[in-house]
Amino acid sequence: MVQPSHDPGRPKVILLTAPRDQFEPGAQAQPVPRNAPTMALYYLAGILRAAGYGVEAIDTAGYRAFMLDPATRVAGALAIGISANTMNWPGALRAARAIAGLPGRPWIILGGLHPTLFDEHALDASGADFVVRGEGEVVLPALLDMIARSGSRHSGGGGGGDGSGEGSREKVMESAAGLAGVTVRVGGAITRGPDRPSLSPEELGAMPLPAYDLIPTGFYATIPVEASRGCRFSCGFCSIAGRRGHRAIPFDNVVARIREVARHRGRSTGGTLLFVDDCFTACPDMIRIAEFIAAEYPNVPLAIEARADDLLRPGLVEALSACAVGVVQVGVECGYKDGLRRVGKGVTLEKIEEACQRLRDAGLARALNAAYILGFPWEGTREVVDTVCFALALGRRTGYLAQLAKWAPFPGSRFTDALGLPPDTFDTLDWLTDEDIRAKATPHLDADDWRTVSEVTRLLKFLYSDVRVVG
Amino acid sequence: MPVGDRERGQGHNERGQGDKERVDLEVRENGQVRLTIHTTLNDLAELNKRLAEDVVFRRIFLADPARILATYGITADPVVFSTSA
Repeated sequence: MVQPSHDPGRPKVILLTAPRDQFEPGAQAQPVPRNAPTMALYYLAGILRAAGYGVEAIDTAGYRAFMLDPATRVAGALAIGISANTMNWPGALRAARAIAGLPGRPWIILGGLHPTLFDEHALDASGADFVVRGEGEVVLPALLDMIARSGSRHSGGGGGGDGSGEGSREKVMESAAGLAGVTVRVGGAITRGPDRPSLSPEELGAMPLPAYDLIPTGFYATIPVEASRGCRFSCGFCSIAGRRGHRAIPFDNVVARIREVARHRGRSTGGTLLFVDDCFTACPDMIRIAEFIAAEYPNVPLAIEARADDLLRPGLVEALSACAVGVVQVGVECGYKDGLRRVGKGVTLEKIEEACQRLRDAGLARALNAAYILGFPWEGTREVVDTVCFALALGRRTGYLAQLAKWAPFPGSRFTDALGLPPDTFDTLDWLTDEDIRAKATPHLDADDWRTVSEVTRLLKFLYSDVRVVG
Repeated sequence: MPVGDRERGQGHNERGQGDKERVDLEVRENGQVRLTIHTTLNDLAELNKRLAEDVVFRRIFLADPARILATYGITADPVVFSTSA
């Protein structure tokens, strides 16, 4: 699809996302994740470009260079949209603060999962002007159009702006206060427009195609594509936005997206199409999609996420096996019955085993990554070791890669909400290693218990040395 | 014995940690007891260290894990090892 050309009469918008690693100017360079670019950035870039805006995308690959001279980089832009999840929120916060202090700065708009969860804190901590809550596809262009119509430029935290004045700025803020999905501070008070309903499958399908041409070439291993959003379930540890609400994009639109992303897959180093769906296999048209890919792109590597029970749908694994599936990520989470029940996973150990065996029988064992979480709030050493043992034993029977990871209390999940962590907990990544938070999150596992778990796990890895394990 | 209990008075409090030093873990596979480990964390750590560092020892261990476990004072009962490696 040919994107509409930029109307030079319309202003420029910068879209930015930060890498996970915190950035300190002058500090030793940290590795930047190269697995996949942030899909949201390129989605929104496509939408804004179709609306006539000039768009510059700065993703994790370009973040450091941007932060070395943000004043020059934002000069002349109407607005900068910063998308953040919890892991890259510290970097997003740093960027927003750096821009907020600039004279004549652009309007700063935060979006993504983390600012949606903590909109008031996000505004206060960053100096940003707006938070777009929830999905940004409709709200962001509406907000930008409102700003553009006002003819107002932000005067900037450092003074000496373009002379549009504080009154004009306040007017824009007041106008934004009524917009659905927007949080803004007006006259010292936080004002939230009504929540905007999630996009319908048809709305998702009708969106302009992502601006894949803006993805830097030769940097990321995969290139993302989306066929659905959300999940039918709501696991206690999960913090994705679309729980209990799977929305599958209509088949014809998915086909158009796959054709478009396939045209651009040479931009990635591995050429893998990464389906970013929370649960790709839940799509009702999953088998048709797989058959389409097998027919048109039989050698293009795929990476997908799946639920074990979906994999048991008749014909689904067989359809997948006709594609060049490189990764099937399945969240198993717990290796014992009561744990799965407490998580609310909606599958049994037996179904998980059956699904893994079905993938093995279809020749997809090497592609299967089975993910387990250790240290749920109720767990002691017994439960954790039970999970490790189940993970390794099933790995031996099916040949998958077992992924073992400690539970981390990401905000937005049922389990984390119960901990009552304040919003500023997540302004740095220290929460991931904070002993007090760890003790609160897993009260039945102290440091000695974790050492026990670690030693038993090491022994079990020797006993199951034929099983591929990470973590 | 309840799994995960840490017994006192077993002579395994060399490091002054008393019952926290004891490791009793029962591991199940497919609903059956696969491995019950009665040991001290020190013994287990030493075994793991040697397994990581000594390739020959690792080979011997995988050939007959129950015997090696016993030499470290680790009771594995019942042991249903399946070392296909």
